[in-house]
Amino acid sequence: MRIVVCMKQVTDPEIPASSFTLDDTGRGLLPPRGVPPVLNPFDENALEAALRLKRSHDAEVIVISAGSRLAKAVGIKALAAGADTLLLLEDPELARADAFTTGNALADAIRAEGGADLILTGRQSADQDAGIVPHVLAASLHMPTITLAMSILLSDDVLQIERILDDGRETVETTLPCVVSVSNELGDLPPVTLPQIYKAKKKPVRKLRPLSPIMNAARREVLTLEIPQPTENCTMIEESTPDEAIDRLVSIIGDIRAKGEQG
Amino acid sequence: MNTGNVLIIGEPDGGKPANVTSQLVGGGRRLADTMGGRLGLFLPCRPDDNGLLPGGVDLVYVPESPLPPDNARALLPSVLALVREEKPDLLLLPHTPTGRDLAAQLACRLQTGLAPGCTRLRFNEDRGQVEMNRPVHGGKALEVSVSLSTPAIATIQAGSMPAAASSGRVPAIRMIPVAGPPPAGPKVVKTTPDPASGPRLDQAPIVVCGGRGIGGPEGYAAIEKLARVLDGAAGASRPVCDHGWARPTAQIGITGKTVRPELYLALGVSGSTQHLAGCLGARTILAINRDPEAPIFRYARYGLVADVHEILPGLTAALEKRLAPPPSDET
Repeated sequence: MRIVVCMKQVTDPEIPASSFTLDDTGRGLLPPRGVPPVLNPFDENALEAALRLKRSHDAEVIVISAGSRLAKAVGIKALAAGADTLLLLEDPELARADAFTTGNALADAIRAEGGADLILTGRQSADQDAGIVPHVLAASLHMPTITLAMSILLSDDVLQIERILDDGRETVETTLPCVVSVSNELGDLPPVTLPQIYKAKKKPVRKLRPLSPIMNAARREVLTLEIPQPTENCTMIEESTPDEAIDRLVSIIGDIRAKGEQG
Repeated sequence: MNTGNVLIIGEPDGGKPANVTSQLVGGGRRLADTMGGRLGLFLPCRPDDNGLLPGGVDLVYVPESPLPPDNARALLPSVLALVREEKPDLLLLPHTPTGRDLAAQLACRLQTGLAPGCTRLRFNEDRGQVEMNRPVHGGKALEVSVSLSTPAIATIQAGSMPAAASSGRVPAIRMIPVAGPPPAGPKVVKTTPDPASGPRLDQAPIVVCGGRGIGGPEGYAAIEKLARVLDGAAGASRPVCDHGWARPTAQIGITGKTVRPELYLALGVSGSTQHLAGCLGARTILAINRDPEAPIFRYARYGLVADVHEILPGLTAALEKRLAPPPSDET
């Protein structure tokens, strides 16, 4: 079985909002200087899903990333975790491509590289928070998409996917091939070890060029970007004992609750 | 040529349009008025005769035979045909799992712009385009964008628009043909709904949220107890769900729910941006955290620097006493 995991590098989502600034256009976000990009955490969940299937089945795990300058450490991490091959789809136009352009370029590359039985993506990227790419891949490759997977099991060519919904879970069964987007509930990659990193450096990394020129026809125009500022309007409860603090809390909560009932 | 029309792809809840659909109708009505068009509502099945439709819809579209409401693949061909015929300028969907899937699949086929997870929409009359606001970078920034083609597609987070009042007036209902054969492929074999208890997280006027500081599953049980006492709903930050102390659907934040209650009690929550993106719409935030430097205090209205464990049992007991119904056997 051939599993392709799509991955994107993002600005480390753990960096606090206060260290970001806007760029000259006012429409792009600048991370603090010297902070290396990381693998999109949701794509890590997708890779973890792939590696679990690899452990239980005879699967080849190929990781593909579209862009122009994937940080070496990001690629090494995916290979060290257990991916077999890294494909880098490189084109300067991909650096400013939207989800539709990126998804179509990835789909073309996957097709040209021999296709896939299962394509896994993160549920969304930690920068755009959109989750559009899995649907573009599926539309382009004529496969069904199943989103928000929290577990994936394969038996006798039937894929059983448990999805996380707003008010519960559901289990979906499908045959291969298909595209599945993976949610954080599935679990994280275990930390990679030094021997794994050494081994990863010997694994194949191949650079691909898009088969056809990337046409960047943006579908949306960003007018402005704003970094919301905290309200900084907090009244601290400074009663000296827990009991006094509780009294104060009860009166605040009681008042708000009473107001809500009147309204 | 622009039609000014707004079309909502609604989700039913039992026989009635879900609360989030009523919110889209409330917001969609204002937009359609400023855009000079009509407001249409697609529902996958005919509304229950007893269930009132939200007021303000001009036309309701219902397929000739009901479609499964939670299956984007089954809905896609009929919705696509409707959109191609009605040519709305703006398509609104709820930011739910099905709404998100359907919106993205529509955007692929219609080759138009999609803004997922919007919190506000505004028609810019000078540009003749709808400005769509949405959080990006896990809530670190707010983006305002326009679609460069029609229809613009937006999925809307729950609580972002005021719900339309129910109206006794039944709008015109137009039956539309079901397009395409039933989809082959993925089949839902099992659903596991959460046990229903108290108000829904995204509709409760009071939300009690436990963060990492609650320490474990017992801590989360105490959060649930306080929520019950307050007739509110219990929620959790992502680490609490990731540790399995709370069920995943209790999660509040960018990968969980967006809540906009009157009162948000953040207990042992540090206030990471991805969490704040889910709760900053609350009218009042009251935070208790051991760390005086916790970011949550920069956004809260009231703050207490304390270990949650020292406060929670006493607070719950005191509120239980205060809110208990007065004894009725005084005579």
